[in-house]
Amino acid sequence: MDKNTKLVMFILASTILLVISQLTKNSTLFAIAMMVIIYSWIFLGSLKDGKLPKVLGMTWFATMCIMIASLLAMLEIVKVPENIVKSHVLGFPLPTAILFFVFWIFAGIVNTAIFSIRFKKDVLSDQWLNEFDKKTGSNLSISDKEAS
Amino acid sequence: MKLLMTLLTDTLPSDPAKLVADYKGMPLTAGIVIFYLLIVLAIGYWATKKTKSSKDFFIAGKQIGPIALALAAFSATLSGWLFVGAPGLVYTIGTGAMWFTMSTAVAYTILWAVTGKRMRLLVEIRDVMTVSDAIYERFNSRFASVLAGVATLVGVVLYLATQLLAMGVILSYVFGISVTAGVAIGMVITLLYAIGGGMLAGIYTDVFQGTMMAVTSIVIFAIALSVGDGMENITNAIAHSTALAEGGLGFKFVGPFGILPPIAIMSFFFLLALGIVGQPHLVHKFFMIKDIKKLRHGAFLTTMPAIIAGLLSFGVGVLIKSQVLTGNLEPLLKADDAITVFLLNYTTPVLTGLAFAGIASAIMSTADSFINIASAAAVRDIPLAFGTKLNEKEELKWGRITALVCGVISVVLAVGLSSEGIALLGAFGYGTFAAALAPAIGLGYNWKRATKEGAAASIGLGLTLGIVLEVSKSLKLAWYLNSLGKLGVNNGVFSLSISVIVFIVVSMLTKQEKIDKDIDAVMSC
Repeated sequence: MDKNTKLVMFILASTILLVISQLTKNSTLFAIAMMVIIYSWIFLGSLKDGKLPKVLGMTWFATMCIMIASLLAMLEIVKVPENIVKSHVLGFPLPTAILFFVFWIFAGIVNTAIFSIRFKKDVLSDQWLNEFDKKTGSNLSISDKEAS
Repeated sequence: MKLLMTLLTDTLPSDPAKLVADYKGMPLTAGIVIFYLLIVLAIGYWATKKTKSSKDFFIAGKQIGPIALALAAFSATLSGWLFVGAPGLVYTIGTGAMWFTMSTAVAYTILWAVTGKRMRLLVEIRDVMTVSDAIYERFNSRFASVLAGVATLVGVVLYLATQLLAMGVILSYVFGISVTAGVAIGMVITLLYAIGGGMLAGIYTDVFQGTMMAVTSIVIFAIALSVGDGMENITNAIAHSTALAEGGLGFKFVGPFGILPPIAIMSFFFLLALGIVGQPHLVHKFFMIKDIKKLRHGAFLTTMPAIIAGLLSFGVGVLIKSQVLTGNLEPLLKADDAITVFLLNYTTPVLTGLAFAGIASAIMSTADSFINIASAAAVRDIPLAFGTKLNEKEELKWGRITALVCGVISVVLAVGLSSEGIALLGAFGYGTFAAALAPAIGLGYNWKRATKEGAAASIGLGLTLGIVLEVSKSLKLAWYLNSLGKLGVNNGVFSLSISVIVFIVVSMLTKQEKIDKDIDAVMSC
């Protein structure tokens, strides 16, 4: 079984857990399964020869952990509704601030910025493009700018 | 003046019809909207002159740069719903409604990482212009491809009707005309630039429209904060309101999940994030980018304006709620009136004009994308079912004719059906596309063990399950209410999950077929 298949099997198991969490109304299980599935798809799309590029993979893994932790923290705080407005950050109630600034804006920036930063090394290197060109007879490794 | 009235604790009106009738700045507002529509038509005229082939028409001649791609993806994703539906949903269920928009934390990363590179590489080696083409090339299955084509064609025409209705409502406010006339005017303008300039016109109007949406959102959010005297005051007014005291509803309203159960809210996030891989009007944008290396900044450039635009929904939704709860504003007649009531009560005619133009932009850019992929499905995917392929000239001619037909059918549906009927059509939306197409495209191009049987089963089941569950929910059928409805299961998430499971299990149970060398190169790169 190759690594892509192993990861797909992991996605299958996580998806089954997600369905179970929906049917049993288990928010914690849903939160964890949801984030694991989402990032597993991202990892699957980023595998090269069965390997996940280190820097890209580590950064996304860390972001996933932060998102799961912030989700669990939010779920914990809202158990007692009065606790929601006990403290504020930049005008937002604390758990809502976690949602806005950590779960949304921080994760959104890190996820996409690391994709941009590591693009030439971990997403589409010149060497990979050369290999693709050799296999298919295309000339993608030469950008339009260089060609002209 | 209105602000002064608020300070004097007069209650402001919230009936849009009355507000529009009393609004002194409407000629200026209407002038700005007309000016905007003329710019859109000018872009359409320019693009029409540049559109010479079906490749130009369907995939913008594969000449799109990174910023254009990012803004087009952003404005096509965040349709009129973000400006009209989302503030209304925040007004109704609280902060939890933001999870729709917050899917942008991961959605564009998924789209770019899972499909971006593969789709752009694919278009280099095969004659691919639609998502169904991509499914055909990967699985060599006419059945799976046609199923995807039919889903795309039917789905977008129906979904388009919901967009047009929103457009009709906005134009009826601005020009004091009927909703039917608004729908017709909106469709005529969209068709004029979509039929002539195809995707080239669509992309460059998206650039203009996306920029406008982002800029307008920042200004509106700032005004909302200013009117409410800061976010803390706004949220405290809601949290401690006596009207929402029972069961801590006020606290929950400003909390991260709003007044709905957390699992229901997280379901929105999951569906919009992962489901993005199955949205044909987004995936096919990767066929258009000029240089594959320009994919680099796309996810970032798409996410940033999406975050900014999301702030508008939140700002307007919570401000209107706090104003109503503190007695400064009459309760809304309909939640979807939130943005209109906000603009007409708290901003200037110029900003109202820009915002209405921004809303029209959002709706038109989505409508244009839908028209384009529907016509592509009709002239490329359906003929494939009968083993025929049109030549380039015929594709362009029939593409334009089909775009017109799709537009007309959508107008008829939008005008002819009741609001319940439109809601039913809306059911065939994002979730159904996600369940039907996400596994075949997202997993199919990243997993060599995937088989055509897995793809066909997943597309067929995802499509059927998505429609059956949503229709059952809308019609309040007993079997549904006593099972999934009782458990509060999100139909889209459930259908997508089952579709993923079926795709993987059927693929594992069926024989793996040899993948063509060039397709293998796409998947290995």
